[in-house]
Amino acid sequence: MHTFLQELIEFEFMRNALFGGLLISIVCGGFSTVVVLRKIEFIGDGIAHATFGGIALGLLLGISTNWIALITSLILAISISLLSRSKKISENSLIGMFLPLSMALGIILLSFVRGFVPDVLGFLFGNILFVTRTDLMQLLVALVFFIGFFGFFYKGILYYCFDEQMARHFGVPTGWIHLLVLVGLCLTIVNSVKIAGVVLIAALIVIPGVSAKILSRNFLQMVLTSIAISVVGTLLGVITGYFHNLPPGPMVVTFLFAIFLGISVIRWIMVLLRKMHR
Amino acid sequence: MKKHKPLLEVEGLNCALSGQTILKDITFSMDKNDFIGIVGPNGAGKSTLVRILIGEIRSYKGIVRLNGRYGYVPQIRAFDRDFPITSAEVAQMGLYRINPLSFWKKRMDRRMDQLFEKVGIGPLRHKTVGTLSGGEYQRLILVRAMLYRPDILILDEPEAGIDEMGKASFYNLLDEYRKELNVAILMISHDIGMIFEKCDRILCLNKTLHCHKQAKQMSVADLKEIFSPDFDLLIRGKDHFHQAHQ
Repeated sequence: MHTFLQELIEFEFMRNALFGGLLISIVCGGFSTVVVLRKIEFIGDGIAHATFGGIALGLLLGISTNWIALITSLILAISISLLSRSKKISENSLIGMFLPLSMALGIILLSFVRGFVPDVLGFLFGNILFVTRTDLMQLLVALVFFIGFFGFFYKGILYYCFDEQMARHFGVPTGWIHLLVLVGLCLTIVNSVKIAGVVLIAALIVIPGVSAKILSRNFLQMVLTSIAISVVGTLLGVITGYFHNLPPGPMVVTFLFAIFLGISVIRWIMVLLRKMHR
Repeated sequence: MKKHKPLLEVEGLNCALSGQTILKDITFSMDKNDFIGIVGPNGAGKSTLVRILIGEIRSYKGIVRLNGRYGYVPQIRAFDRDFPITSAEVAQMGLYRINPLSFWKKRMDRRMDQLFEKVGIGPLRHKTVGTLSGGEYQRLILVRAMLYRPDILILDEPEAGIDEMGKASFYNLLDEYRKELNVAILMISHDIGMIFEKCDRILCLNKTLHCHKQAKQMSVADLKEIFSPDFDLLIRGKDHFHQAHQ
């Protein structure tokens, strides 16, 4: 533990990794509630895969991978959302087509990159050493966006998730909320891919929300519980990864799933006990 | 002399969706304290008419004029019973248009408390909606519609998914409300027995208005005109249908 603290003080990348993990877990935990309640888990996955295509395009053009990834993921998320609203093709079918397309384009583009090509596996499964100061600043922007969005639209987000049609009827700006949810998810996922990776990020935006839903009686409780679960799982994963020299991304996912499993088992036992007492 | 302005005026309403005529030449009006029932077979255009009245469909021809505020009670749809939302939060959705950031909370809460008590679900205010029965949920949706202090309540098949006891007490509650608060009610229903018992006037709709009469003046022949020949089956059972038609 002493060495860990010493290295934390000594090395900037260690501080970046831990602080980055903390920021990612807060934002992912928050948006996870909307993703789970609105049942748009696959959009998160689609955005993550579009990020990969964007990173490859950024490397090919030699410009900021984060910005290009943000733009490509936003284009994909908004296209899926608009096309699925026309009701001719379902949201899941669209994601099922766009997801492999963005991965395929990413791999093709990477093959054209001359010179140094960063580790592809790092993008797929995450590498905490990737986190830079710029990433932290962008994560802070995502956090401010999350706080502002949830603070201002709290009731609107709740009603949009519960019953979009009736929410629209009662004046909730559901179109804007849907768009801002997609923007928030893109901001969050693009900046989280470095830690969790394209493949594993889905866990960060699904598991905290699913686990919190089991425990919560109202929306605020769910948001706070989801963030708490996300923070605990992420920090445990990152720190355990450090001590045992294991990849942090997969460790985070494993811890989050363990928390979900624990909550589910406890809930199941409580329901069983309640039934026995009746 | 000031001209009398009805609460709701519908004049020469025509509506076609995807090239198909849904409503043709509909004309009727409503005044304060009216209780109108709309009956008609499936696909008659009842829900389209309601969607026009509440402003969800705007591509129609004719005049639709609402001189007051309306409250809308939709059909109960299946919802996620594990959704973390309390009854009070669902009811507050009705105030979003005038109070999106939940200002004047105390005043609003007092009014909401009164309505919860009035419809008989006072103790369920802080319960999650998933724990409510079909009848209790329907009352909650009524509270949501009433919070906006409507002049007219528009209900789309409120009896769907509720047991017989629940239906009877819900209709009694509506009737009480109408008398106490001077609210007009326009209701689509498949419950023909109730429509005859509670409504003042009945609109028989099947694309166009086949009849528009006082409930007491309605005859089986009027209903048969829009439901025929299934109506015999509906009111007199299978045996009568066989005797009459075979």
